[in-house]
Amino acid sequence: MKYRHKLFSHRDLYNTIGTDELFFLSVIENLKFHIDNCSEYSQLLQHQGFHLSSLSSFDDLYKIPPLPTLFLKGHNMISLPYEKLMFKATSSGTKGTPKQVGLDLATSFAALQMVWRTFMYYRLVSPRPTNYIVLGYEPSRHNRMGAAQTAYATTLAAPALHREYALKDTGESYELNQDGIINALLRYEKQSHPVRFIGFPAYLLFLLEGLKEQGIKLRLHPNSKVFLAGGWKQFFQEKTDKQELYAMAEEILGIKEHNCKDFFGAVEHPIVYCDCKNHRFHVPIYSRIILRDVDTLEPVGFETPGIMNLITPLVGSMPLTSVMTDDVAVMHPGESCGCGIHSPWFELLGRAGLENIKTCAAGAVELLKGISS
Amino acid sequence: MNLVGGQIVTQAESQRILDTMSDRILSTLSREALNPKTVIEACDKLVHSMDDSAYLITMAKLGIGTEMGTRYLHEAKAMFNRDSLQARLVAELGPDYEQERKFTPLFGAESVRERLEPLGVLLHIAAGNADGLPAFSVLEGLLTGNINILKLPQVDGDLSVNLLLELIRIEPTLADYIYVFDYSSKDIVSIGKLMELADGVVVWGGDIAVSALRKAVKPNTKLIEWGHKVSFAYVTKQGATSEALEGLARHICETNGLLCSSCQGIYISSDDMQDVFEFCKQFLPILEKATMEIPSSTSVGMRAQITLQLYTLELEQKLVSKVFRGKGCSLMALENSNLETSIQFRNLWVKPLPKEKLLTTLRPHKNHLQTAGLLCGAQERDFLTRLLWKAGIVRVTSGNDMSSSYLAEPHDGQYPLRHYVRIVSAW
Repeated sequence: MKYRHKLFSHRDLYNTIGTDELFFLSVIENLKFHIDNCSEYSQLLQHQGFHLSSLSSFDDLYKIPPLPTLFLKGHNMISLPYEKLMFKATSSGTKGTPKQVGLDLATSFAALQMVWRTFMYYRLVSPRPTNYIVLGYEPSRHNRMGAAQTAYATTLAAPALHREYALKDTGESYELNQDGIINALLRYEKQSHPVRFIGFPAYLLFLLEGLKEQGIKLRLHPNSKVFLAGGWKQFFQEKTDKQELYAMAEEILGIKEHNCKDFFGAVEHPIVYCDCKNHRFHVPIYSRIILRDVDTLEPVGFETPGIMNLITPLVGSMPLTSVMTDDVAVMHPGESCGCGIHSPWFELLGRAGLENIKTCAAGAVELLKGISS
Repeated sequence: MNLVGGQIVTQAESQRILDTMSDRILSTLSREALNPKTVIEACDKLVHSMDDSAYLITMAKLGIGTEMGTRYLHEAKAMFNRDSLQARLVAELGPDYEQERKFTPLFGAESVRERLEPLGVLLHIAAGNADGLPAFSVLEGLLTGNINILKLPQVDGDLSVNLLLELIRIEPTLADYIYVFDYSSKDIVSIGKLMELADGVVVWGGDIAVSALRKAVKPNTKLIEWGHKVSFAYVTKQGATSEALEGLARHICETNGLLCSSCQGIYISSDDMQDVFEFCKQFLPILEKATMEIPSSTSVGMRAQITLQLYTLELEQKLVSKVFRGKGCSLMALENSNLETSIQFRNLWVKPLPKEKLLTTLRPHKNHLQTAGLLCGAQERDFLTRLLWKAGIVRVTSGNDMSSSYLAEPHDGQYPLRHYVRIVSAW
């Protein structure tokens, strides 16, 4: 996949306009590979009335039928023999059968280039020995969740002296390790090394609240950092809460706001989105995002809420070229951010869902499934 | 909100009160039993003195619009006035429900006395899916003379507590018969203590709640289950008249598929998919028209979810034969005959189900079936009604009336009040 190689070796992380043509060629190359190697995918495209010839320019990318997360969960579509898949991860969703995503060696290499470039751009790679607090699962043989693996991988960005996990592996399951975390933090404070926090925003909030209750205030090394990913909407009602969390991190840990980074990504779309200095997610050269109307799925423009359709030619092992998550977001022109990055940025509004909707008929769904299947 | 002895108490107080509940209840039980007339009079006064605007505001907080709210209030008033409640007691417990029955049993020598007595203490574990339902459940307990402990669902605004407070204001003797606690469903210790006090536990909710309580309730406590149900429409060629279909469409739009009695899907009495397609073509414009006439305030997140689910089903070609998309509604023609819940909000499945296969298809869903909206010809009606009953359906109605009710109608095939009393005898 020569175009993918070109795209993922490109140096200018946010030059989306300058790479539109390369991106388009790379997507065609990627699609062609999947169509030739994954019969289920090619049949699906055919049934949806899509042919490769439908794509004549970059502006036609919206014509690729996106695969929704819900669909992917029920279908294990691969374009390479199973033995060729190396990094396997399951999505962290709690409902339904966990979906497995596997990446082949070439895909992993391209992904590594992307992560390296992104981390270098934001100066997140450091040779200094660092202590880690992982606000998530300890990796283990019985846990293939993408989140656990990504968190572990992130601890490689600076050499790890010690890693303490919020959810410790007991061999069979996990237990909350609040005391272990607090003791580790008190120990870390006395050492002259930076500390990095990695995990879900909600876990950080719980930790900060716990420390506050116990009257603990830390002055961690000034180069300490907080890396957050996913799960804002679950626990946070309003946008301002993000700012409050950063303020709390400064007050209780002594970590400044500019050292707090937020990430966005999905197992079925393994692209790294890192927030800019204004805490916004700009689209990097590796992907393009189309927002689709919540009723008709037709593409919508800037400032209109839509379902997220994420496009990338990264993955060779599975036809994840164009996927659609449950996220509802709104796109803004790059310039409106003011951080200096020109590519558009998106704001997550929430998840598609019927949660909190009062219904008694839906309560019987689980049972009915049990009988019908 | 917690309500004890007619007063709103704080969460902390409610925990303390828990330890003295046993004494409080014993003291109430030792007194003269609550007379149904007292309850009926209080309800009658309540519905006649109701400040509609205040309730409309409370309901608005729960997302119920003025038009729907006014209708609910009207229905509530019709249901809880003196005549209605009396009629209900007579229908469910018999005309002499208050009297002691003295008689000499067949082959017996002595005369015996029989009468109805309350079960004693009822713990109501209410679900949040129907507004004001928790108060309704307590009222059924009061009508049968029971002491009622209500565990509030997470979402109830303050509607239920306000209604009960108002009732106590009108009739202060009821204060000792109404307790409301706002414990979280996860507070197993507190709920366990409440269960110890109860003679009967009344549970409203889905299968998860019902199974959890089946495990938790001890053998010396009666469990009364009002579980979630599924309903559908059954349409024959003769029944698919414009008028009947318009009624069904109205029902679909008014309840959005959210009630136990809401139509989740439509069975076509045929085994030919062509008939299913034909029906979809005929019904979609009717449903679209009703959708426009009865607007729905569906949120962006919900619309996104519906769209994603529909699109995913479209991709699942093995299962779906065809999706008929309308404006704000859709019909999915599916080849299998499995009963399932729909995507709701005016998105229904349409499946073939010849009457010969009705029994075998529906029997596995025993005890989960509720209403069938039956659209058929006059000559077929009797036969099909009986067939649906046999399959487990308890209510057969027109399409329009799937969620309507009549006075003293049984609830899910039962007379609820009969569950809340016991028959005592002496000779």
